[in-house]
Amino acid sequence: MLLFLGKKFMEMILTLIGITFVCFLLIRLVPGDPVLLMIGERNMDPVAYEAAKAKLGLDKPILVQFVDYTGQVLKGDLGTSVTSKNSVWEEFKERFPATVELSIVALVFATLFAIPFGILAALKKNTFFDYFLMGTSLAGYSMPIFWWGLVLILFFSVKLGWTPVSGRIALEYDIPMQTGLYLIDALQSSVREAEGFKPFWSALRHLILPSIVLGTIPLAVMARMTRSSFLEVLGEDYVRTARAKGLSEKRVVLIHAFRNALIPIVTTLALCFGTIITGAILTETIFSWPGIGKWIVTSITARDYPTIQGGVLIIAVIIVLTNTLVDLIYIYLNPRMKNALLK
Amino acid sequence: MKDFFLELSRDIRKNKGALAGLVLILVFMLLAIFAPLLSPYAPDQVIEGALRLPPGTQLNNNFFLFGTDDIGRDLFSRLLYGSRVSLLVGLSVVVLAASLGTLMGLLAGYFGGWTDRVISRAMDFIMALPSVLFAIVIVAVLGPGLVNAIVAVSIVALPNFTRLIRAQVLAEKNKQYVQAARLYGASHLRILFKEILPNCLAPLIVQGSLGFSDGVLNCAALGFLGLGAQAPTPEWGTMLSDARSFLETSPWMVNLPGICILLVVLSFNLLGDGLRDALDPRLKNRA
Amino acid sequence: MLLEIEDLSVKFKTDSGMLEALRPVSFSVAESEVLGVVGESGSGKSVTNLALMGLLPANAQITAKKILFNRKNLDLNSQKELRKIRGSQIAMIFQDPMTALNPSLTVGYQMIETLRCHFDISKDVAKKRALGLLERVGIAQAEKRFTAYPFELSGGMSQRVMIAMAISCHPKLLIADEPTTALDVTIQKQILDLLLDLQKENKMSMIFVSHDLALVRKYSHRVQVMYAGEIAESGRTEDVIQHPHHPYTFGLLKARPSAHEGGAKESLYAIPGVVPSLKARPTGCQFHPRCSRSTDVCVNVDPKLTGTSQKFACHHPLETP
Repeated sequence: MLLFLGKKFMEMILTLIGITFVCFLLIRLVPGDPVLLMIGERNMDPVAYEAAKAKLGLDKPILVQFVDYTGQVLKGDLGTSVTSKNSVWEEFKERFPATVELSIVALVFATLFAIPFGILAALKKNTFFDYFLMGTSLAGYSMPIFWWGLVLILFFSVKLGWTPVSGRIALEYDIPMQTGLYLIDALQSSVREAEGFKPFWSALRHLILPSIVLGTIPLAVMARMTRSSFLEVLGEDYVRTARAKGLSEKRVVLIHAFRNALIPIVTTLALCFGTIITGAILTETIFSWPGIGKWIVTSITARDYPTIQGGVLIIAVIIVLTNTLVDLIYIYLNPRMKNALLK
Repeated sequence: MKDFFLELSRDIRKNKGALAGLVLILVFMLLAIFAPLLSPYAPDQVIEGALRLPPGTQLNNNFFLFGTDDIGRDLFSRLLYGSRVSLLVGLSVVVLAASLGTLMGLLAGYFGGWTDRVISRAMDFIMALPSVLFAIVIVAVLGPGLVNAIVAVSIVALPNFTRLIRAQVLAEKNKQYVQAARLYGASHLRILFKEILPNCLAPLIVQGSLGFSDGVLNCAALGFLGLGAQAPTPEWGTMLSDARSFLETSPWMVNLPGICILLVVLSFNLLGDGLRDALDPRLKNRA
Repeated sequence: MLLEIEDLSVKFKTDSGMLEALRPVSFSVAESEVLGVVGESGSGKSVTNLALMGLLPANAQITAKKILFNRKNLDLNSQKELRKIRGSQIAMIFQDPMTALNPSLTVGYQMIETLRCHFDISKDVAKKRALGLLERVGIAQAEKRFTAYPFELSGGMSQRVMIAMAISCHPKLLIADEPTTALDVTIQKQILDLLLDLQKENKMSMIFVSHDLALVRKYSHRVQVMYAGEIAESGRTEDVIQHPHHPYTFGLLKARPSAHEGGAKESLYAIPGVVPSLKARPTGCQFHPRCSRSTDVCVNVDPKLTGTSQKFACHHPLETP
């Protein structure tokens, strides 16, 4: 077991090093002078230039620079943003909760609908319901989500006025930030101040549309995966045995089939994480959601290279960590592998 | 080879989804090829006084089937030419990613060892980052523009092809016909291209179809973010981005390009999906 | 009679058309009787049982003139009716015990749920009964196995668990579909002896399906030989084995490798030809392409099952002394 964990850990470290290296190379690959790019000036007077170059360590050989960079990153120093002049890490911390909140709500929404839909489609295989569901989910991951978001805004915000167009909460509410997750903070403040749940509802209303948009592709992908996973499991011998024992169909599907069908579904859920980040970039842009997706996009348009470099690195690290975590959870869920490892 | 395609066409016909997809694709291809003939105006032609006209408006002697945009250009013509751009993008991405990916997959699978390790690590690496993000980063380095966007999206599409071919090669490598070929002295190249590659064709076609749709979608996303095709190129994603501020007043400017993207991507996904179901050997034998 | 079946037929709707898996067959099983069913793959022996339990896939079409179980009519197309008798009145054990148990649920859980599905008892009572059953089927350290997962058990042990589950609700009929085919020969005897024991003890009827004539001979009272979806011959086991009338039965008997009759010197006999594919059935008697006794009437007319205590379906049955 330890050997296995150790191996996984090593793999993870290697990937992280690789990613750090590539991000490190980023600025040096962009055409143009790295010093100017990092400082964000068009030109500088020679004295200031040399000083900046030395400060940034750009006068040292490449490998030394890389080691230095890695050291800096591990200490939490990811550079300074050209546009805001703040530390990249600070900028990230400020925006991260927004994306986390949006992603979680989107994934919850996706899972909540995908699994029942997938199961129903599998049970009613080849009926109109099945074709309809699968057709819809195919359309779901064929459509550009930036367009989908605009369509929903047009319909629900503009025409019907049910949801707001942008932002995380109505401007009139000023709730103290604790976690950065508006839903939780709003709840907390409501309980403490006893001022009713209006801020909470406001935050929720702001979340609905973006999460639906962000969750659409994971919903479509997971619905299809649930359906195919279920179909495969329903054909297995042990399901036949369960039926032969006289168990109710409900039990056969929800207990016998579900447990075993769950494994590929969880894997897909984990893979959706990457889709979520991609989607977040586009969704946040449309809804002016102050998260890291929008942050990366604006920094690219603004040529804020330190931010791009730092932001991409953080995101990549998070993804690698999450993937490793998912691998471990997957093994835990699969009793056969868990047992094999524990022995 | 002929039998392969005969069977393929039979499989497509059996699967209604794939057939629908194929028909749609052909429609778009025709529209794209005959765009100059079909479009009433040039894509960047500005018509006097025709600002943001809704679809179906008649102005003097001009009829705008899909309306006009905020500069006064006919949307129908722009969309038609946009289909050229999108199909070109999809084709380029697939050709680039498939050829390079197949080559790398063949090398990695066949020769194993360090070749495999290096190539596989590189692919794992590209896959570690979400597609659009990685594409954005590449474009950040290379600079915005349609060509750079195509390059970026192709790189992102590489791992799918490489892994696919590599898996196929690994499966076929130890089969008897390959060993027989080696016995009578066939060179590595010959074995790779004459023996192994033909067996990879089926999944390659499926992935090609799906890669096409991904390519179009990703490029449109880049266009939307302002990093892909630049104005005045009539790329659907870029058109969407320009139309954003007019969402309320002229929704057709937003909806029509979006629907076009949806239809093209959908058609290739339908085809790819249908082909995958049809070519799945397990499903083939099920009564 | 516990089970009476008249003209049961099963067809499958496929892309290649309607395939007839089971031609109308009629047979019966008496109380406390073991009916052995012998046949090659494709003979319809498993389809019959699955049809009886309502476990065939959705594209199966089942028709029957009359099905009487325990003197009550049974509609094989009504899942509702079947669910009432599945597990409690008719139980089934399958060929591959390793895949027949749910890999992500413990043995204990799967046994308890069977019991609580048919009896209104608490978990503790169910657990006690389950442990008792596990011991009865010869599983030592029942407590330990109770909390184990199926993949931790050997093939033989898994099959014992399946048997325990199957008899846990005191079914009147136990269908054993090739219960030992996937097991080692040494284990086979143990399992079959156990089944026979339980059968006698509980006065259960049993349908024992196998492709192995020797096993069927040893463990069944009556035997039924099936070929290509029809019954070729049936009767008391000893009668059929000693005096087979149908050429196919004779072929099967002849094809057994015999350790006693100086068989090491003789080459193994194999019935010439192959079992017909469902998509291309021969006309008339299904066995005629492989039969040395076939004549014109065999090519044109499918013989009906005739006879009294020993039945056979053949135009030119063997007359053995």
